[in-house]
Amino acid sequence: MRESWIGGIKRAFALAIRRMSVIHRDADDELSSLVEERTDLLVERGMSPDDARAEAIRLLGKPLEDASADVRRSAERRERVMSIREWLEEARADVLYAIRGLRREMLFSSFIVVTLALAIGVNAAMFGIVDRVLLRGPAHVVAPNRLVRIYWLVRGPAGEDRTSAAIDPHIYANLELEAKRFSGVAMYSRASRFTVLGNGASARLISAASATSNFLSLLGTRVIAGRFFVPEEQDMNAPQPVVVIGYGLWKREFGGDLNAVGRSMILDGRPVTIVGIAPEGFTGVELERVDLWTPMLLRSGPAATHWGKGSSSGQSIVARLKPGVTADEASKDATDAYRRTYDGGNKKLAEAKLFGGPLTAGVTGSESVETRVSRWLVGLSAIVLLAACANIVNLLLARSVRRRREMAVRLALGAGRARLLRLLLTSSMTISIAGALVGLAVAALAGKLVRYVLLPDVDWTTGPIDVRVLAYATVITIFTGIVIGVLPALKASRVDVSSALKAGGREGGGNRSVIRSGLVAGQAVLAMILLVGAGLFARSLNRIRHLDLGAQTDRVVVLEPRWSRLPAGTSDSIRKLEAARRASFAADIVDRLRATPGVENAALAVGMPFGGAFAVSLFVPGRDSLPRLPGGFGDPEVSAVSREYFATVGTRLLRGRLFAREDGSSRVALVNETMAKTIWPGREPIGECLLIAKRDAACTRVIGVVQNARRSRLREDPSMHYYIQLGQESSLSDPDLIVRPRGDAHSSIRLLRDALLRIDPTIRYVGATVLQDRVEPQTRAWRIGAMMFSLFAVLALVVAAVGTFSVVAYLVEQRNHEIGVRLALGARAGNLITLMMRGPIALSAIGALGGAAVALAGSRIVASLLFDTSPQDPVVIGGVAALLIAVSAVASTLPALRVRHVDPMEALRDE
Amino acid sequence: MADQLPVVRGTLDMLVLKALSWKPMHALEIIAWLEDRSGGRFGVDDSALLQAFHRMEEKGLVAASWAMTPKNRRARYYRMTPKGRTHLKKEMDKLAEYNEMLSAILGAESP
Repeated sequence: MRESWIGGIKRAFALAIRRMSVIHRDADDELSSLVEERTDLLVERGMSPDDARAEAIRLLGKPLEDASADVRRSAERRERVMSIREWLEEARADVLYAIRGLRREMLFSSFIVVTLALAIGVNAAMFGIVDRVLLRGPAHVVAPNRLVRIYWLVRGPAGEDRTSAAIDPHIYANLELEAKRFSGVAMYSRASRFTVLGNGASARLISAASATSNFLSLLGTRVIAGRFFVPEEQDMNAPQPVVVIGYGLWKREFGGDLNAVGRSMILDGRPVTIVGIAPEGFTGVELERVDLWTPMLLRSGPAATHWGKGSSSGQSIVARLKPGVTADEASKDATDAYRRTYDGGNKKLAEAKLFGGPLTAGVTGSESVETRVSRWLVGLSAIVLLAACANIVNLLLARSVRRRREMAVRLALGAGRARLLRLLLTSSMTISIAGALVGLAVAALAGKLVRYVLLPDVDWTTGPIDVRVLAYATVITIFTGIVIGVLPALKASRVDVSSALKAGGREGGGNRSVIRSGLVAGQAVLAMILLVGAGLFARSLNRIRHLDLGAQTDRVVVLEPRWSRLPAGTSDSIRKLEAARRASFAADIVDRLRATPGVENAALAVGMPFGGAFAVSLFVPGRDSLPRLPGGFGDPEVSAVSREYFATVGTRLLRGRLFAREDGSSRVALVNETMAKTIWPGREPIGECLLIAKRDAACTRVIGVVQNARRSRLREDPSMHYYIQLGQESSLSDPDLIVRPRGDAHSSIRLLRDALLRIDPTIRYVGATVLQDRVEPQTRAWRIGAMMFSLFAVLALVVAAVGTFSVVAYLVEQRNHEIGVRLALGARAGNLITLMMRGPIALSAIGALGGAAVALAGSRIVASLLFDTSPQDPVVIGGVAALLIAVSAVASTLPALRVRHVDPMEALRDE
Repeated sequence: MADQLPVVRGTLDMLVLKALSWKPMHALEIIAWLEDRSGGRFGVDDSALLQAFHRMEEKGLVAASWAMTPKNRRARYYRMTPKGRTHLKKEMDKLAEYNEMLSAILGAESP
């Protein structure tokens, strides 16, 4: 094979050289013929032959050698230009030929074009996503690869490492002074979508983030009008609060008027002054939309005590590496600086490490969901493209069998094999381009879908198709054109002329192609991989949906009334009264709220699932210390709740009893299952004594055991948790107002808001969150996985079905004659149908087996992405294999049934 | 021999095409035709003319193929292509119009 390639290259060179010498010889011949004719003419007119020749050369205008060189040059040029023109004309003819061919077989062509459009479109769309999320980095950030986000690595109570990007401002202040390997350090907070803009009825939620004054210059950008913040504005007691508005908000609220700078707005009930406008699409170093920037308020509070909560709304540090400094060097230096300046007195925190991670990483320092999703999207869409290519190659090969005669005739008529190859490659390129053109529409749709469904928080500034996506689409289109063209073209151009012509009108019988069988099976392998992925993720998602969180999160609404600030000049006594009224508002109205139609129950709680956890020191008589569990803070968590809490939230009682009216102010508590098992193993905890806050506190009696409820994560280690009555522990105050509405929680929000506003018309805005909405972001990875795998798997399945269908259809058509003869000889149509279907079904079964093997081999990679699902789940693998084979059975049955329409008489007449 | 005149730029193509409009010719036949019709005032070097033919071939105005002369010598014969024919007609029309304009201006008898 290699020999023949080298030979081919040598031949091509030899050909070029020979062509050049032919051109030169022709040019010389023409020149000498001119000179000779001229000489003859002059001799005819009476000159001596010698004089005539001298005169003929003189008339050339220059010495013979120079004239020859000139003429050779012009001949060369002529040949070059003409061969290009010829090439273009041939290409044009080839394209027209390809288009005619596609139009002649509309069904065949539309299969191919649709398949390609789906594959190319999906790939282009995915590139658009990855380009934004991974490749280009956040908009307006200069050299994002020299920026690091600072992570804090702390050893947890059970010795495990806890990484967090949420860092105390105190550390930031120290780093800014002490770290020497950064050219700049800034602090910012991620966008929070719960900031209220405006007043009264027109109040709405916007997304606001905060940042230190050096943030923009650190990233390498600037405001488009006004200014960013100054350091003095980072002080909590700054006299005049200021904001920088985002480009989008500026366009929406101020119609793009530059005079917006200097105007004031009402933000969370207080007036703020706009000092600047951020550039279009600026989202800091994250990708989420930011409507508005506020100065990061740096309070110089007690040393770092806040850690391990991994909250995504915490403040993060971003730093730019000095030129030539690596992230590792800078991390080491930052850790030294941190340890040198830490004065909090906590041993674990004093030993914590800092490290700089890439911007694409998430809050825990590992790959963010967006990054992971985009990487998978690319991989999966590439698989779909491969499957589509395999499919099309197969179809083209099938067609090339039909075209053998045409190719043989062309060869017999003197077309070179190279010329034929070119014709066929042009044809496949034309198909690929047609697919790509339709694919752009697919890309626009798929891009929109993925953006809104899978990555809704990212601020997309451009449409799904931009110049870079187009460039990428062009590249994959050319790649596809070559991939789908090479094999059929080589095969077609190797036709043996005499045998193909001899075969007459009938095509050479049933010589099955190994390549084609391999392609059908290979396609099935790819489809199988995607199907297994889809199955596993769907199962994970199902597991999550049926997870017992210890709270019915979809039935619970948390209400947060917010009031305006009191006007300046309000007397202190009124201020105090109003503050007290607001503080006890929830407690005052919870009974009224419970009586409201549409409300099933309502309760108060300090500390609830997905809503904040608290811990106070706890002692148990007879034990020196309590065991520490990896999932906890150290001390067991505590919630202070009103009586109706459990009924409202849906946490089930396992043993004993819940709080009751008769308890009054007596000190009673409920513990969760884990706490019961950990502190009183093998014993009934009811009646046991808890000493809350102090060792000499009064006994709090355990009256019951409730099921475990999640603290904040879907995946978390169980922790000890107990519940006491609200109001008994002064440090646990300011409860959340929780409501269990009748009917759908989301649609009841309006009613609940109205109810609160009726009770107190001075409320400015009622924040209302269905608890499930706090859980939902955590399920995103699985939802995304299930959705994209399913999407791609369906695509691959369709592609595989189309492939099988058309292969069998061609098979039947190609063996029409044989079938006719067999029918004439008494074969039963049913047997022949089975005969036609057997191959493709067997191939897809082989493919399913192969795909299952690949999926099992790769199970390690996906295992970490699944939720309580084994990557080798036999139900999933068996199920999707059955599905794949069933689909290929259906896809091959339909065309195989055409056997019944074959007329034996026609076949016999041919004989 | 009369004084030779340089050929005005862009008109050489026209002259060659005109020659070929009668019949296909080889290089010297074209040159001789032009010399005869110009009364010997046609002053372009033979080698330059040969290059001009190549250029015209390149532009698709003429096409060439090898054939035998009456004296049984191999020569490259040029013939006018349809594109050449249209080109000739267009250029001649343009030139006629230009001449008309020139003579209208130069023949003016009042200021």
